[in-house]
Amino acid sequence: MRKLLVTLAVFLSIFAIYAGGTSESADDGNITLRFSWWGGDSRHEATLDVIELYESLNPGITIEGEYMGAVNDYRQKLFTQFAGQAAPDIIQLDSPWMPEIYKMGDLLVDLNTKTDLIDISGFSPEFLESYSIKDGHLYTLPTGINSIILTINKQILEEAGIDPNTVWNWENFITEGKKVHQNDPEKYFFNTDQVALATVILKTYIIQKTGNQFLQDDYTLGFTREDLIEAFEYMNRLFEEGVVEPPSDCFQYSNKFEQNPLWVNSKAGVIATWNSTIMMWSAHFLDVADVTNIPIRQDAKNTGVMVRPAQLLAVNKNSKHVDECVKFLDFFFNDPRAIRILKDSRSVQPTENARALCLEENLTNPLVVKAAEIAQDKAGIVYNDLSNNQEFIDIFTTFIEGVALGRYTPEEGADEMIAVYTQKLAEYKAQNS
Amino acid sequence: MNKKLIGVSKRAVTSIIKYVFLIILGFVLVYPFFFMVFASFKSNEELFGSASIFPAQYSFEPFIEGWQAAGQFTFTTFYANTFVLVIPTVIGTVISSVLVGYGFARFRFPFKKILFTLMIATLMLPNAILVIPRYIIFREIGWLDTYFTFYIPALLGCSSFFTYMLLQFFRSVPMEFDEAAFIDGCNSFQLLYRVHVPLLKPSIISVVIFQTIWTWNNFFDSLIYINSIRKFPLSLALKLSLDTQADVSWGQIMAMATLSMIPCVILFFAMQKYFVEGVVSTGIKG
Repeated sequence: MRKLLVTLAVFLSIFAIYAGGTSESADDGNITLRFSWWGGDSRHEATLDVIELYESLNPGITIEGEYMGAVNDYRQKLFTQFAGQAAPDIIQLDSPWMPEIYKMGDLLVDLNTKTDLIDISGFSPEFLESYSIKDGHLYTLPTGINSIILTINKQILEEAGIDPNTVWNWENFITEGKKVHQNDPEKYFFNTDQVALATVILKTYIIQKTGNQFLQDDYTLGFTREDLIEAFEYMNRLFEEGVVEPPSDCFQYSNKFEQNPLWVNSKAGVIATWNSTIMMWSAHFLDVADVTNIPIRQDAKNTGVMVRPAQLLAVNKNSKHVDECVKFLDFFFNDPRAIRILKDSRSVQPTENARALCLEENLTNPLVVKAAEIAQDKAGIVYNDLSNNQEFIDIFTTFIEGVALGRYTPEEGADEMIAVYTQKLAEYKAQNS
Repeated sequence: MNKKLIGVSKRAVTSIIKYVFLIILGFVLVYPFFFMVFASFKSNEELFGSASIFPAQYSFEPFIEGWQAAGQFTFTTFYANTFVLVIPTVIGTVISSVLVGYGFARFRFPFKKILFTLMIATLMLPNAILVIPRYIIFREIGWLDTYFTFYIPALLGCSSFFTYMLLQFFRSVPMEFDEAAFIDGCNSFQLLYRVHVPLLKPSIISVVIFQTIWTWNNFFDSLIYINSIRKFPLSLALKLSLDTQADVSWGQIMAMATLSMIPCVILFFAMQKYFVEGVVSTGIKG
């Protein structure tokens, strides 16, 4: 028994050395920076390669990548780290999180004060103003441009006699779109789900009509009952005229309509997506793929086309080596060697020079660059936090399901949804004032 | 005669119905597991495009490619990390819960009732509440990104569930054993490891199995406490490339998930005999 205890003690201390011994190296002039991001394999590899290159060019600096796959886990961890003041030095963020981060206190470095170390002239000033600047301070830099566009399978459209270069508005989206299903009962024009209907189709439909935020900053609705009824009726027409697969089928792929067999097996012609996903979700027909803007009504008060940063990069104010972090960001965004490695691993490059370089050297698929640029031409309102709020989106989604599946008429749906929204808005108003 | 025949066939029918029901139920329970194993061999198109559970062809490519993982580390590192994380945690849990359980069961000391209530109270605490305070404590001590965040709570008896479980078992051991041992000259520590621990073997093994599986699959704590990729255990490593917006090779992930289950399954089957005995004896005697 004694032997067993001694062995155990030795065993545990060996593990203890392994577990604790490899922590931070002492201050011998070497600087270690922590850089955290989320993404898929290709982003991990590209970023690690850039880090390696930077380390070889700047001896004495080590950058430790803390990368993860799922964005929700990443977010959960990051917010714990912020609360515990143990966040990494360089942090990848998502723009919907920013209001909450700003509320947590003064966590990020104002990059406007560091312009001697980083060149920000390549970024579009309007874009920075919309997404990166708060009260005159530049807290973040966008890693890329992400926009909602339609990806088109030209072959399916042509088979049904539709001109793939059509400029879409809501009317011809139905009158032309229904030809696909008429031509081949197995096929449909548009592949979507209840969430995309809420966040992309119906919301944009309403914004184009009203020109307002979907939910306004003073906690009121940006639309009337009639606007909402009209939107619901439009959605029902999409289903009735066979533009979209019946709701009972396509609603099964909530939040993952790209996995709908209809889409995977090339039996649907169009999806509305972020341009960052074109290469993955449309890989099965890239040679006949094209991109175009989402439907825009002729008398639109605002195009409602969403253009936003793919992600944001920021420097932690608590970092011991703020200047070194900023220098790395400068390299990351502006150095041609870094751009050649990163390419479009974080969506279309954010600076003009980088985009030009990518196109010139054929580093990015021209389709993705085209998607970013056509959408930027038509860029609409910058959605406020309330309009992007997940709780309101979920409610909208629920009523879309209800109306599409016939549980409510468009009128009933609109009435009930407005009642729920009004109550929620009052709650939010009470919380925030 | 006739009557008897009818009786037999009735019984046969009932048991056929029973078996059909059990087989269907068993299939439903086991289906996700088979789905995972077979999905290891499929490409993404096949996974989402075809309804058949069986892959069109069997190739070990996903296993080989999945093992390489993304970035600087392979699954060899993650596998090793998991063992380094799990084994001491389990040993610590066993030592601490045996000692604490023994203390509560056999000793009289001041504030025993209050301390016991406190221990039971920690049993009721949901993990979510502990995260931020624990995180801040570990940060202050400088243990973040080390496995001490798992070892030390295990060694200090933080797994009150196991303490409580063993405590119940200690209570079921008759006091006569203790008295006999004392007469023979044992001190209280000798009593523990010469008399109680051998009697406790089945329930200690249940502790080992439970704690191994729970720590092995513990995603949330490792997510919060471990930062460096070099220290990731399997539960984190499996999600390294699961970005919703990126092209995920599900086959590779399923292959690695299958591999990551194997040690737990082996452990369970190797110790099943003791495990069942342990659950029964802690549950019923008392």
